[in-house]
Amino acid sequence: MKRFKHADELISEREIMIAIPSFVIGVGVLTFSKDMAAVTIAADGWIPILIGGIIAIMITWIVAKLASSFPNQTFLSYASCIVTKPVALVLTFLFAVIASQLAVLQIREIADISKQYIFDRTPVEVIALTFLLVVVYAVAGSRVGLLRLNMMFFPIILVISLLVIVFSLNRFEWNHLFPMLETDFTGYMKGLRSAIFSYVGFGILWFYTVLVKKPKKVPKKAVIGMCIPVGLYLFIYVSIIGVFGNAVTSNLLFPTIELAKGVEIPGEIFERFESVFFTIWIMAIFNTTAMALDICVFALNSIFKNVQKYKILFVLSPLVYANAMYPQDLIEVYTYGTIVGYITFGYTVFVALLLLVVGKLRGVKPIG
Amino acid sequence: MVKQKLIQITTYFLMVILLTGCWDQISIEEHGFVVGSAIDKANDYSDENMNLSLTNQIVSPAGLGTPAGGGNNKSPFVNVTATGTSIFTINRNMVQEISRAPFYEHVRLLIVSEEVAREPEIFASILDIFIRDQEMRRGIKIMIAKNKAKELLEIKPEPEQLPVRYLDMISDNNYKSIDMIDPVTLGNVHDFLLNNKSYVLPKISLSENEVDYKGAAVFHGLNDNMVAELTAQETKGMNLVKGDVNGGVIKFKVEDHVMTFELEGAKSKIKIDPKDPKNMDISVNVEVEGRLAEMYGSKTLLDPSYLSKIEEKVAKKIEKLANQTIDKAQKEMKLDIFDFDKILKQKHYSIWKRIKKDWEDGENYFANSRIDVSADVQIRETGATNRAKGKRHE
Repeated sequence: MKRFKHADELISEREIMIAIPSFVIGVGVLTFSKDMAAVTIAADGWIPILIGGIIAIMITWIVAKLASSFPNQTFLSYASCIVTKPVALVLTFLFAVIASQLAVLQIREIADISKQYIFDRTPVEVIALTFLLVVVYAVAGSRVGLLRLNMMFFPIILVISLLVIVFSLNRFEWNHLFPMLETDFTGYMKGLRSAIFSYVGFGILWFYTVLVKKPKKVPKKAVIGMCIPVGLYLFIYVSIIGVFGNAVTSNLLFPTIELAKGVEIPGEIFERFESVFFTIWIMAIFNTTAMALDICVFALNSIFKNVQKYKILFVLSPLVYANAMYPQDLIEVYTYGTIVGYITFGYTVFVALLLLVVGKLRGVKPIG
Repeated sequence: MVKQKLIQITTYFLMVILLTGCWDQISIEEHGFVVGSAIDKANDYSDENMNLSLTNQIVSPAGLGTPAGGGNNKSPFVNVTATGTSIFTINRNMVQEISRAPFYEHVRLLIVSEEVAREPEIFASILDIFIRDQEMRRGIKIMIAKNKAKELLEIKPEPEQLPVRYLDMISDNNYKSIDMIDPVTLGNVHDFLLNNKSYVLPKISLSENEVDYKGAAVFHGLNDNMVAELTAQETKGMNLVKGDVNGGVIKFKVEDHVMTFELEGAKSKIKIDPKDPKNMDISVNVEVEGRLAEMYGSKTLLDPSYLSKIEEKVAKKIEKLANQTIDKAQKEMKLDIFDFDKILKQKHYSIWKRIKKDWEDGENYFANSRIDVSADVQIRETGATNRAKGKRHE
């Protein structure tokens, strides 16, 4: 079989702009409203979502700035410049581990939720395996192709999400949004914590920036890209609270799915809108998982330069699968997700600070 | 070469066979589409738990036929009843009784008999599976049946073919009447239950094969059961106070002539002064717009003073209706069915946090509050004619 080769293995900055929201919007979009509603009063959750979003946008900018100041260099090579090769190797390896854990989490959650809502009798193991196989197929192909796939899927995801919101407007009750601003400080802080987790994803810039033709434009486009999930989350959250009210939202396991399930298109021309929503949403998770796995392969490949990409992938996939099947129940998956969220966020920020500070101290001049 | 080709072709064939297919495949003919359910108390008490009986209305598409008829004598639906102590076990029992496994994605209606609803601490548990199960929708409408809920699924409605569809459509007609309340969905009830607040559900009854969708059942939030009911008149009063009116009719008398006022909409402005929780002042101002639909007698309506007299009479009548219901709510039921608590929560949150416990319960501030109703009526039109009959010569 011949593989189609693109003329160049480079992407434009537009692809980076779309890759960020494609990565950020994953399983988190289904559950974040529940966690947010549980710690805030009425619709006050919009504040932590917005502030968390601004923080995420700022970090995105810093990461993008740093990565793009070393054009055409991989993370490993510029990190080696700044903090010596051995440290850079460790940092890269940890990124690979974290990326694989993000993939694990997405696979497990998509399998669980699909079983609950769609496949009543199919075992979770089978759903997860099928999904993983498709993801592996995507990752085995061209990296640039994967990023271009995002460009195709993302507008559809966005349009369907907005349709869900628009068709929910008839069930929207303004009085669910009141009282406003009655949440106390600890409530906001707790909300902020879960908001930031839903934005984890700026880490992909460490790796994908090297593929961009004009790296100078990356920071601006990355920031625009990051704004998309922030806006979408705000819209989704306010409509969920408006439709269900705070008490119900904090007791629904997947408020966004319930929102889609409740959609009734006037005239009864189309019933069970959630079937469309599910399909589209699985596309979104597919993008996230494929990119997470791809970054893992990318990072490992930069460490083991002489090993073929396929070999890494084929060793990695069974490990990812076994890891995804390890948690026993819903609560374990949930706890696991929280831990991975903490670590991913903490680690990305830590690496950014480390490179910035050490770079300044040692006076490493960005090339170009 | 040939061998390689053969292996390739075999692999492709195996892929085609193995990679297509669906573990969960159920043919559409094998689904028993449940459109509505009814819950009653079963007669036999086999053990300490209350025995419930669940009736599912399952559509049988062969009987639906075309609107033109076509000599099909099959019934368009089947009702299946099973009993047990929990809804889920009943469901499992039901599978043994019917060839098609019940499929709940299309349920529109859940009817619970008053007998079951009046049992304390059980209503939420019955609804649990309907809220929890992923097949169920939050848009399912809930009604309370005066007698056996099952009987309502057995009516032979015209022109609709399915009893459930008929009941569903009746409940949507509420824009023409203020005797009924807006349909309440499972999602709404979930909200009420989580907030531990009292609420009302529409009531439906069957008398001599005629469906009567009037009045409401009042549920106690904390005790989780039905405690009282509102008559059609009292429901009117409640709807007016809540401003929950899309249409409807008010009959009144002016100078011994019967008149009918058709509401086109009502808004209520509710102001609560919560400074002294023990003696709260609640003022309700109902603004009503509508037209004079029917009048007896032959006085001219074009006389502004006569028209304002009529407006005044309508307002009096509305105040009377509202006060009647408020009296009952405060003195008999001691339950806030008007959602004043929502307003307190939304506009006076800090006070609400303090008095939450004593609003309907404990000190019962609601029962002790002063509720003052005033109505403003605006007659927008009087129909196509001034009067139907000439004035008698005097």
